[in-house]
Amino acid sequence: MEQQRSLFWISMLTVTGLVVAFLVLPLVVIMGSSFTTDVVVDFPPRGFTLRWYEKAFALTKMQEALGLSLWLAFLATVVSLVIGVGCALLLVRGQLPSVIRGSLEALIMSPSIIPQIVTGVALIQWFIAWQIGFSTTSLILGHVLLTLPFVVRTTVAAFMTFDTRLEDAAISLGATRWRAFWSITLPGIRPGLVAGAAFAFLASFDNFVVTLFLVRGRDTLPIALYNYAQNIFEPTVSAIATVIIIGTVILLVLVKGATDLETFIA
Amino acid sequence: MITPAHNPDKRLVGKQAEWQTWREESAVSRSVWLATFGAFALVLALIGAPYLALARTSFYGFDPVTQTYGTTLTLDHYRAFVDGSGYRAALGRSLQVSLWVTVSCFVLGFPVAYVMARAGRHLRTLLFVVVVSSLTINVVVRTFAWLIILAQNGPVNALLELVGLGPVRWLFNSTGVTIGLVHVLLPYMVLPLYSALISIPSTLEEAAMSLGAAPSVAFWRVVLPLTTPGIIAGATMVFTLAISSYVTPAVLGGGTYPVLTMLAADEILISLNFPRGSALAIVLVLVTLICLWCGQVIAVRARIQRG
Repeated sequence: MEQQRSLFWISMLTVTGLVVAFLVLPLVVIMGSSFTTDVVVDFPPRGFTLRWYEKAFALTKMQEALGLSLWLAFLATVVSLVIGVGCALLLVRGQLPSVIRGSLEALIMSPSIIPQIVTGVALIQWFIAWQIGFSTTSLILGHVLLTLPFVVRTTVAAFMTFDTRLEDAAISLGATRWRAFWSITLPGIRPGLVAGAAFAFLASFDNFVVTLFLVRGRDTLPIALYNYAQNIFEPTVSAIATVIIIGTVILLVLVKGATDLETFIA
Repeated sequence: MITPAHNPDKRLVGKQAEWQTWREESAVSRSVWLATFGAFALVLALIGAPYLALARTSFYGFDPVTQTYGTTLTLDHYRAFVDGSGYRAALGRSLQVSLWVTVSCFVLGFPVAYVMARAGRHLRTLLFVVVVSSLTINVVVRTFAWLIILAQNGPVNALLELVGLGPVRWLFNSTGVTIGLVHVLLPYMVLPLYSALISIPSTLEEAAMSLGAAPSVAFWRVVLPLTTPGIIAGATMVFTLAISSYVTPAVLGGGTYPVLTMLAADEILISLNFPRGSALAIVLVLVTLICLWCGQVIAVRARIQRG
């Protein structure tokens, strides 16, 4: 029996090992192929060179795209945080009738459930009708819609576990409602805010499908990379991809220090 | 999804009483009422209205010469979907690939979730980092990685040729799309399974085994049935995300394996045929909603069955 048990556990571990290899393989291949001396992307790489990174950083199109992506992700995250905290507060503390609360929540969450391509097609028609077409405003609005579900989900979770008596104590000690909210509640729900902001930033920075419909004449980084790779599939693509991977990992490590991501994902 | 943290008994009271209390309380805090109104206005204008406008556009006629659309209502685009074999074939491909992806994600994801739930702290953290980081790495990046790995003269085919299995055509067919999507969507299966598994005490399995059940029997008869909610959540999530994916099928399937999302995007971005594209988008939404509804029904059934 003991033997059978360990056999079962070993087979589970083996499959897990294979799956981990499957998950990690593409990242290894991308990073490895960015150093090849060959002019075509290949793996395992031949020799070692950093010239693809030089070339990638010298591309003005990529610089502009990176700038737009970072700016957009930052703005969308900030706006989402402000609106998201308000919505979460209303959903958790508003004592709304379940019909209203349910439909409000469903509307806020709908961009994360409805296929992104549908959201993209719907938004561009709507923005053209409102005469803001392919402007930066429409890009920001589109990205706020996409990032709002992440912020609301994590902030609601944080509000639910927050002990409201702390707020009452602050008020009974003479703090105003706003003061109590700023100095007691917001710091209290900080793990939720940080996790929500991180997911929002990544969701905006990585977005491809909705953005595809909202940009014209300029590109965000994922779209610039996609277009570049469709035309010239050389190791520069791997170099840019590697930079994106490293940036994402750095962000995750920073966030991991400030909040327990596990509670907000699983 | 959200349950009120305060006064759980309130749900026991009838709907009318709930409204009553709310109206009385909101008389006190008018700011709450204002905030609700503001939130609704914002959300409706930004989220609800575009979707409704999309549904309306899908009934407008389209003039391919001037690339404009009038306001006369027609069912042409839906008729084109039913009559034209191209669209139906694309939907068929979407459904087929999504089904394969869901099954593969379950088969590969279950052992990972199981090990995560039952392993020690270090192994669990390691697996969690691998799963979550693959969730956060850009889809465009990962998809191009598979383009390198599965290329005709790529590393996988080089290995296969070494053992004499010849080069296999991985790309621009359902195989490539399935592999790419499994890689992208696996975390969405692993995480709900993990949540379900971690809530099953390992003592249950041990009890079954101490009563004489073989580990595989304990697994099939005890663990798997208790994981049903997680399986349904993960499967619906993976299936709906697979059917609405665009980047992975566009790169790894290309023009030789068009799925519904690609045709919808082409109608909008290339033909500028907004009504046709909107109709295809509506079909996609309907398929997604049906799938979510099925998941819900199965989940409820499973709950009733377990009593």
